[in-house]
Amino acid sequence: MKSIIALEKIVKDLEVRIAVSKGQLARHNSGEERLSLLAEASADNSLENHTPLLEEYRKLLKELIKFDKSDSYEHRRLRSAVERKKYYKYNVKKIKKQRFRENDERIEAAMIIDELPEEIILENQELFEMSTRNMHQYLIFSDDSKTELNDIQEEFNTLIKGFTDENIKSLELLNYMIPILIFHFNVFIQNIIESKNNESEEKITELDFFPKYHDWWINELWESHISYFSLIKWKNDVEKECLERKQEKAWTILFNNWIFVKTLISEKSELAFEYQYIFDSLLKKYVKLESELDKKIVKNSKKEMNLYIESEDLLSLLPRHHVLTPYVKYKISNKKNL
Amino acid sequence: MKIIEELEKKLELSISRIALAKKQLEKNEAGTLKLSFMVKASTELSIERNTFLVNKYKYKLRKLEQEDKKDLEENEKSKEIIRENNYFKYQPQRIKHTKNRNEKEIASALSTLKDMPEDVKLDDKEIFEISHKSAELFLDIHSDLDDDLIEIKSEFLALIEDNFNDVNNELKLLNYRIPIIILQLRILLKNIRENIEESKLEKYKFKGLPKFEDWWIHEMWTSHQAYMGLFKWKQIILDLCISSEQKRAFEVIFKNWILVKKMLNVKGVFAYFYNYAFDKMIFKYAELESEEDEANLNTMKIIVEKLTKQENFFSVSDSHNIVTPYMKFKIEKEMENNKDDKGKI
Repeated sequence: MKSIIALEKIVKDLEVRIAVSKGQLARHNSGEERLSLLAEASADNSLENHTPLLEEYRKLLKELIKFDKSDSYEHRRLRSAVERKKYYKYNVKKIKKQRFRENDERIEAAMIIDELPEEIILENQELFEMSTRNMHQYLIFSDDSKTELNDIQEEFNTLIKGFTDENIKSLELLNYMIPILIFHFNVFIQNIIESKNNESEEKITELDFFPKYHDWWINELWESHISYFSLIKWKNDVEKECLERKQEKAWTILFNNWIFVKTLISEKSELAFEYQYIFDSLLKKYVKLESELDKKIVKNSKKEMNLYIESEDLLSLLPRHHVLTPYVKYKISNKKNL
Repeated sequence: MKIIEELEKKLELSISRIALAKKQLEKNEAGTLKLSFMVKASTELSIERNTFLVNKYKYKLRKLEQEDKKDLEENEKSKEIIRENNYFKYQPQRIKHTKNRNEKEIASALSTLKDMPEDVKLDDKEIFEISHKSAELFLDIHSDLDDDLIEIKSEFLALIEDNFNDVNNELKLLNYRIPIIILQLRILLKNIRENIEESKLEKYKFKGLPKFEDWWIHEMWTSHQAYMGLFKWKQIILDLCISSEQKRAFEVIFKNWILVKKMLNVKGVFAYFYNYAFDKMIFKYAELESEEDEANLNTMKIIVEKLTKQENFFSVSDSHNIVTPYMKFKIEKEMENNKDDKGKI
């Protein structure tokens, strides 16, 4: 019964109104704040009108809950959609409004939908197996790997524990992906260090491997070409530093997953800044991957990128390029078999 | 008993009116109060009318006293029940014909009424208040979307459930994200169709969304042409969106779609079944499909090549901003942390 959600909101709104009026009058009576005669009368009036209404709607809500539990799956979903509307609206403010059409209400509501927090539940063991099985072909995991993943996950969980915002809590997919990704980055760097140590007599324990990236590349990917070129150049620069083919492959996967996570968090805008900062800080701590914070350097790099774009062969394709990819062939054969 | 109480009240009122009028006339005669001719006439008329009413009420009361009080009470109760039953029986019709509400408000109130359990009775005012809040929160729309999402989700999960093994278990993390992308694109496509129908631009005969090409995803981050293909494809769909809400929605849907598609592509052969289920579902529900005809794929490649030659790669988006709000936040955070560190030393 969706009316329960509307009633809950009505009750909440009335409680806020009453609390505001009560607060105003209390401050006025104590001399802390001076209300005009009209404002005082209006606060009085609001109290007088809203108090019986609140009682009426509370009673009604209680009655409805008798017929339908207020924490059913449908209600939780609706409630979380209502909550999310706040942050969606918050984001919309920043873009120039053009025309609002009647059918926009529907797309706006659809865009508010996100995953519910409790949908994915994985055990630590499951998480570890999941994270190592596929990367095994490209990365060498040590005996301590399992403890490392557990430690990273614990650290990450502790850092995000403080968030009470529904929207941040619901980043459940990311809550699983992020510790795995940091763990993979860590193993990747350890593998590179090991390869370097095998090649040279001078032994190292840590490595500054990644050039700094710029935040706006993620923000404007698919909007300004230059951010795509900056990212691909950055990706290729890291790739060149890899010592083995397997490491290059691992880097391609890490890069894609990193873009995945960064884009999803960026979509949540200001409300997820703290969350994004935790992700960035952990990557900085574990593998020294960080963004450029010097505004001058960020501004100047655009000129450099223009030169890079001019030097690139924009029409070049993969050496083994074919428009019919193996997956498309699979798809075609699958359809034939139907 | 209600009716007796009401009659007694009316009787009292008429008696007091007569007393007041008589007093005024006395004062007028004594010269302490000057009544105009008109007022005097109206006062006399009031005495006359109220005297008539007093007699009428007294007669009715006498009659009632003679009747059986119990019968009367029951009769009154049953009338009250009929009144109440009629109130709720005709509530939908009454709401339908409410004069000071628009069509949307009435439709929303009717939906709230339908949503209520039979035993819960609300008056019209409460129904309108709840439905107003429901509309403000898009509850009806959310509820419909929820039903759609559950349908898409269960269909998608049924398509993939038998194909998981130790190697591809990780894909399960995307199980819930994919149905959401499909639903969002489905709603946007519906909007685009409605826009075109409304604008009656027949020349735009909308034949559906343009087809995407798998090699664009396969070669993304390696061939610039793959990026250009995707960028131009995205532009075409963006041009079909009219309002800023729709454009923004597609930007988000596109990003989510490409992130998932690329992730599946990177996983290669282990994710084929999953990728296929995604494509199948998004085609069924949002009519988005990939181009699989080699000749068409090659023709499109030539078109993208031509477009690349004309493209200004140095242009930036309207909202271009290299010092992003997040970067500012990060700089402040780092400064705070540095201060804290110094404090500790």
